[in-house]
Amino acid sequence: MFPCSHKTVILLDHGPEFAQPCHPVEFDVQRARGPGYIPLNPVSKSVWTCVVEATLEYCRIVWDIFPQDKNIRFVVSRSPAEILNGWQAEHQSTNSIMTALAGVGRPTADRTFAAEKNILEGVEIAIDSLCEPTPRQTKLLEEGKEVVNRGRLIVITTVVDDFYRKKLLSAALEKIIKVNQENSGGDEDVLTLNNVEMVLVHTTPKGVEYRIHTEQDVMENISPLLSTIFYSVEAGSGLSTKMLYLCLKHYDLASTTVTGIPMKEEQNASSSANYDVELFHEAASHRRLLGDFEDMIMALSEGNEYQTCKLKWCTPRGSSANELHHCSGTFRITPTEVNSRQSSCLTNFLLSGRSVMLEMQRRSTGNKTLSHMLTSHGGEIFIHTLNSNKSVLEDPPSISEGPGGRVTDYRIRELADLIKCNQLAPFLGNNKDNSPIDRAQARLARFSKVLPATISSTTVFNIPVFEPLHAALLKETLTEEDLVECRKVIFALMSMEQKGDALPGPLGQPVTSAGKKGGKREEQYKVMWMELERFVSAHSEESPRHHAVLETLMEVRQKPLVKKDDKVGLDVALRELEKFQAMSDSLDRVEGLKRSSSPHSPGLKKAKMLNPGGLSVLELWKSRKEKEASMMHKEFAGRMNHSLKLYLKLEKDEIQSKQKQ
Amino acid sequence: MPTVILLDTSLSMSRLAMPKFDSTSPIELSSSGEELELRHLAANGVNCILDQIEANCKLESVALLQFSSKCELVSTFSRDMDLIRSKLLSVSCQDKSSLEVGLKGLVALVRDEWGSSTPITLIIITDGGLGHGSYSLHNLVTGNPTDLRLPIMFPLTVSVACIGDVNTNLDVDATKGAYEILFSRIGLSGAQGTFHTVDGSLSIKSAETMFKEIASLHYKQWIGQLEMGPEMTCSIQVCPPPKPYDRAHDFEVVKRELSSTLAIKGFVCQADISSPPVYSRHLILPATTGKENKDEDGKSPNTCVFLHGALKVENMCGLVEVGEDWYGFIYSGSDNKKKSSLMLSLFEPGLDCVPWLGSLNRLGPASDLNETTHSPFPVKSDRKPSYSVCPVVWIKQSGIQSDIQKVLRHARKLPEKTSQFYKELNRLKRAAVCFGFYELLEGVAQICERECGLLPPNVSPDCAIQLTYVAQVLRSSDCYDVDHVITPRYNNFNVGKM
Repeated sequence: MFPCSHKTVILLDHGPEFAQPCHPVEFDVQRARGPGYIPLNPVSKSVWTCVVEATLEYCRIVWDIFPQDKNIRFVVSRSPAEILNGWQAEHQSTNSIMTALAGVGRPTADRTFAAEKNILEGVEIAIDSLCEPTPRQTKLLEEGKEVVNRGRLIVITTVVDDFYRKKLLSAALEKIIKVNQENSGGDEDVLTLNNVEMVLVHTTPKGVEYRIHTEQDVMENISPLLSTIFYSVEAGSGLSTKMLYLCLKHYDLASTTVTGIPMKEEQNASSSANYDVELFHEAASHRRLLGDFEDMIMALSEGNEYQTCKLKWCTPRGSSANELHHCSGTFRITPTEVNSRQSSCLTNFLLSGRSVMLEMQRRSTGNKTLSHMLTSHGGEIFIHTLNSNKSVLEDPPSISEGPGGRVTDYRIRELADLIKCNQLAPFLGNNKDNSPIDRAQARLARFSKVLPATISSTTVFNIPVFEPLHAALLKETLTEEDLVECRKVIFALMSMEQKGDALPGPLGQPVTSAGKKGGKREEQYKVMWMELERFVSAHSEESPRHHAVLETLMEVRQKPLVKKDDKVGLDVALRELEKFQAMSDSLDRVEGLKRSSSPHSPGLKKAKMLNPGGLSVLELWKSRKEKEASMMHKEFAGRMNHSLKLYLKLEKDEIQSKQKQ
Repeated sequence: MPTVILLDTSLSMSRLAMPKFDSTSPIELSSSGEELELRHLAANGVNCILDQIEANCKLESVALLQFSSKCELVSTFSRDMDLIRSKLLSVSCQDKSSLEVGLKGLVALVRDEWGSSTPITLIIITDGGLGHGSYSLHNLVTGNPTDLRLPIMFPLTVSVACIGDVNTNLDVDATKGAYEILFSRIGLSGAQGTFHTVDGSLSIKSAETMFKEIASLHYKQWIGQLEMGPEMTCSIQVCPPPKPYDRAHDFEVVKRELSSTLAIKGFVCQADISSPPVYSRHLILPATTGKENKDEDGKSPNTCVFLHGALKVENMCGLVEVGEDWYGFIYSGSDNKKKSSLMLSLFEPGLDCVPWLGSLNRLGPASDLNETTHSPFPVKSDRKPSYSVCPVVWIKQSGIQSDIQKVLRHARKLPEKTSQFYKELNRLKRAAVCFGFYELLEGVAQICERECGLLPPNVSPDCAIQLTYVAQVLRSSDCYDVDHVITPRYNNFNVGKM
């Protein structure tokens, strides 16, 4: 739960031993170029350069694969010892470390410096820096959560002999005990250390022998607070390989070699040859698939100390990237040789947005399965572990076999439109605004307030004229134009009714035949109005203008507007009415009339509501028309007030001239 | 998730359930009319579990393994419970109880069929004997080396049904203790392992009660609500029933319970969600009321079917909140072209489980954005991985050579390539200074000087001027400063070329 890889301090010896040359480098360009060309002698890297290169490569891999929470600090042991960077995210980059290392410069061969004293001091400083909390630890502490402070200390130095090694260890242990005593006060700026893993890497140029008998690569527990492990390598490429091995071990990484990638030749673009590219990623990518690596075909990575798993490149066909694969894990990758031509060919291919499937052959059965996918997302490359085993959900029952599966007139198109209108996108506004996802949900709730599932269960949604009102009411706010538009829709529906236009039938088809009974049509309109009312009132509380639409509707329908407090009552009433309508649909008109003459029938109440004042049809029609007209335009001020005087200025002038006289 | 029933068929399972102390006392008979033995109780218990699975978990696959000194597959994974019931009749008692052999059989069976990421429910039915010698339970828990690789690699939930009482010489505490040690050795935590015993004396009824307890632990239906706004909800069943999440992450143990309401928050294109990592995958079925006529059910509209249809035509996924900071997505999944169903995939709990979607609670209505034609996904990472910034790596010789070659290529094309030449040169110089590789600075200075002498006659005199100048600067001590940048030398030949 508290991995020691969360905090690593790399302590670099800056003593005279590391100033020695160790590794000849043929840097000269090898092409022979005619007379006068004298090849230059190779130059030598110093031990220091090899150490810096190897540790930077270690960091490069860690930070490529882990976006956070794998922190590394550098300490250089010289007099005085120097910490090169902090735990903060901005310090956790190879670039900032390189700059800091340039400032340190390389060690001098002057042996008057007390290298041993310096390294002991370095160990102490390194342990101090492990006590400082990382941003993540600070956050956990602020939240009052438990923190177990574990860390790793990698010391790269020249271990003179076993005695020297013991001395380093006991100095470390002493220091840990000391800081734990000092830091136990509960101060949040410094933590106590629960456990430190001290990795000792002894390195010297070729040919220098040291008598060290400590067993390599075996963890030794010095105390519950300190464990140690020892490695001895020759400076140069051996050190790089060892650091690579340690990187894989420390961060539980695995190596995968993508085999058989067809690439165009540099010289001859028309031919292509197959290349292999090695990648690193979290070992979990393979473990999720198989539990362990037993069933994978592994090979020793060339020139390295670890195994790599070979997966075959499968040339991408079609649009497999857009398919939704069942994937149990995704992990960032980094190429082993970042600048090699083959690696950059593969990474550029992936960064350009394409993806590729990888095929694994099982060792036990020889079966080949598509096991992984390589692809990039937002500028980072990931390996996806696919599910190549049998799925628990194999052969599921089709959705059409279950409830509702045999209904054929779902309003799929309309719901699809709704879905498109409710897509999510990263919110780029105020960082403190933590509710974008809730706003999205509220919006969706608004859109789904009244949403008939099938064509046959709705009338109003099947009428094309209704669409502008539908679209407008779904908005969060209405403009004055929207309001006018909504009113127009209501009037259009009214005029349809007046003209006796047929409403779309149960399957949404426009009915043109006049053969149907007039009564049927009347019922249809009633249902339509009820449905419209339900839709409009469902949205009426969104804003005053939304409510205005409801007001208009109720006005033209000559219904009293039920107050918000009575909303429940309205709902109940509406449901009652709907029930009635469903019933009356099946009854013929005469029966309907009979019912309405009964004093207790809901039909009677409704009839009263329709004509509260007992007005004549003409009066009704006139008042309705006037209302309609008044809503369509704003009355000219001059017509509103009958006693307006004209030519006021003339009169005023006249009075003034009179006064002057 | 698949179930394996591991049945102890050691000889001790053929003991009488109620030993006759008194030959006159009535004895309970098994269904086949024999005197009731432990194995009959076990077989009855298996049936009891199968009944529950059949009723509640239609997609559950069950396999039956029997173990004694050998492990035999009685019936491999199947959804046909009748098949398993029929195979159960052929089980007979063998010799000694070697649980390790049984577990090895389990591991082999599961690995072949399901791989290592599918969680398995294991039900061990035994009389509770610890066994003797190698491969016995006793040996497994005393910490001796085992053939079986521990912990077991695939996720596992175990229930032990222990058929025994004082009359069968069962020391409940010892057996329970042994199994608890076993649970921790095979890598179970907390509630992942349970041990069940028969309450009271052994009888068909008391054993059945125990098996029902186990069945209800593993084979409950998960019924909940799918909600797309409060006005559009639907009662659903989720198969296989989602298990609570309980895993140790870095820095904390994450525990989550699935909420009974799956609330849709909005929608994302399948191409944008782009095969994200999922913790588990489930089928969403409209919950049946059970009472109504199946025919009627099919004809009345259902929100699940409605939603599935629309998600399918648009190739979209609905993002659903399933718990505290826990999300998943629903989509139309199909095994083949004809059949498709509504699926639910759960992410791991947390808001940053899919890097390319960004933090999930920072997703808002796309309509908030200005109209743009291209997708807002993937969310660009602000990290620059090494493979996209071309870092200097000189661990292999070829790395240095190709970097020097790049500088020289530009050198021959001066003054046209002045800016490229100095860019590459400064990159090289900076790296050499950072690595403390000062010898290389001298080496490059020498190469520059030699290059001067090799220049063909038709190149600009600027070449020689710049190369000589560069060689001189590379040898100066200013160079060791990381911020020092070599700038082109002005002369009559490169005027206007920089």
